[in-house]
Amino acid sequence: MAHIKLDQASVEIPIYSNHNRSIKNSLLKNFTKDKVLPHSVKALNNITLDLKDGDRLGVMGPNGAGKSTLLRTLAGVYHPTSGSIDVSGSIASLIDISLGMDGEATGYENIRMRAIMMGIKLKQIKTIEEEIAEFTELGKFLELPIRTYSTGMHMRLGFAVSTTVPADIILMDEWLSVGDSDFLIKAEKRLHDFIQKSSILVLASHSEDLISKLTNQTLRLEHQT
Amino acid sequence: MTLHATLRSGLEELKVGLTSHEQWLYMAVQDIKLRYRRSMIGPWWVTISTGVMVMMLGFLWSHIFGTDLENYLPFFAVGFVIWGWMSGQISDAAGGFFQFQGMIKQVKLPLPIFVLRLNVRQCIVLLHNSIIVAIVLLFIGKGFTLVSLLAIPNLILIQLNLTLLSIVITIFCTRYQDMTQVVNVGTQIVFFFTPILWQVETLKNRTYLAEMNPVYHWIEMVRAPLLGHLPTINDYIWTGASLVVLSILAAYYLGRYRSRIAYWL
Repeated sequence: MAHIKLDQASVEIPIYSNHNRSIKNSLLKNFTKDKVLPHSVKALNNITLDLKDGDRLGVMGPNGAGKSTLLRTLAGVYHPTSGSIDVSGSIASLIDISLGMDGEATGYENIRMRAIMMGIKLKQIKTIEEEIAEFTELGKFLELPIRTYSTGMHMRLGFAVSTTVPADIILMDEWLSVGDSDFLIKAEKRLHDFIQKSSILVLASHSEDLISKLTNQTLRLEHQT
Repeated sequence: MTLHATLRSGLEELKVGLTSHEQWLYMAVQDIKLRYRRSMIGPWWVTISTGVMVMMLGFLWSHIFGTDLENYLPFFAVGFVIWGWMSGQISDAAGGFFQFQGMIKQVKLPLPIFVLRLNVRQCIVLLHNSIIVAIVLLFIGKGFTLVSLLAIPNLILIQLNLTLLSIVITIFCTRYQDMTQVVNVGTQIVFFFTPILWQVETLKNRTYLAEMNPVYHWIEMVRAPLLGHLPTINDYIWTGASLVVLSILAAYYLGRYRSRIAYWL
């Protein structure tokens, strides 16, 4: 059973300028009069969430309202500076699908690297490779360094790898746009299947359409006034 | 958080990191593979440059110290190669977590795996460089004996020390970016203060200068068996003690700052 619980969670991101990043200043801070300027941004303020199996949450809000920060907090990257978080279940993060890709490495190597970083055992990787090769239709290109790929090919590969292993919780930042129209249909289908298999989806988007189509509840984030 | 809880969560993080060996081993091997890809001899370049250095400096310093080459060159070659391996890991660590920030800000992974990945990379380079040691010992030195085998378990012991130290330095240098330079300068100073170029005997009655230096004992743990004699009890005590201190320090740092690191990147 996957669940996500946020209780009064806030995330405050410190801004490090050269000034307070240096050790001298942080040592001297206690002795000098002039206190360092407020150097943090409150990205999330007292968010309480309770998501269970079957929940599909849409996150809306203007740029800079904290959508991505929320996703990162749910992914366990940012630990709330106050309040608490409790997440159980495996997480697939589709925040940046070309995560950790290396331009010098070949397509196959990139598939393996990503798969391993996602915690897949070496033994299972062979089947994943084949499945991705077939889906992306990249064929022989997978044996070339991915710096030779076009943007579209790059996206295909990243998308295929990101959506290959089912997870309990899916975090998405905007709907993906991958490649030409033929491929788009295929990709849409794959993504829908991928979401179907998950138990919780959190989707951040600007599109009302998409949110109402895919989710059953909405969270609206606003700028702090 | 209490001290106890901090240490416990740090140890937990360390354990998870170490047991995710598939991840860091694979990534390190991949890194080295990429180095081979665009140049024919890849990491052998490091070996060649280290080899040339060892030969040139070996001749020069044996003259300066007035010692004979059969005695000095094996000592210097072994020490220098081990030093390269140790200092390489420290200077990798001084770079902080910045080179992995894309990944760290995206998915939650045990942080030690990034440090271990860099460590393993240096170990593979050491494997390349060990050919220098082999050549020097076989053709100029006394060759290998059974005692030499002891170098391998000792090397692992030192690697544990280095990994823990790397974790502390990496976290520290991620928080304070300007510390990278300080660490690099510090490493250079340690090089001159440690018997690598010069032998302990030259200190005459001031051997405490070496005896008080943990890095000397670390090097001795591997160098002594390769040169055909056993490390002293002191070497073992220092290595064990540093392992305990560094474990506590690394566990504390991980437990205390684990959740802050993403904020610092």
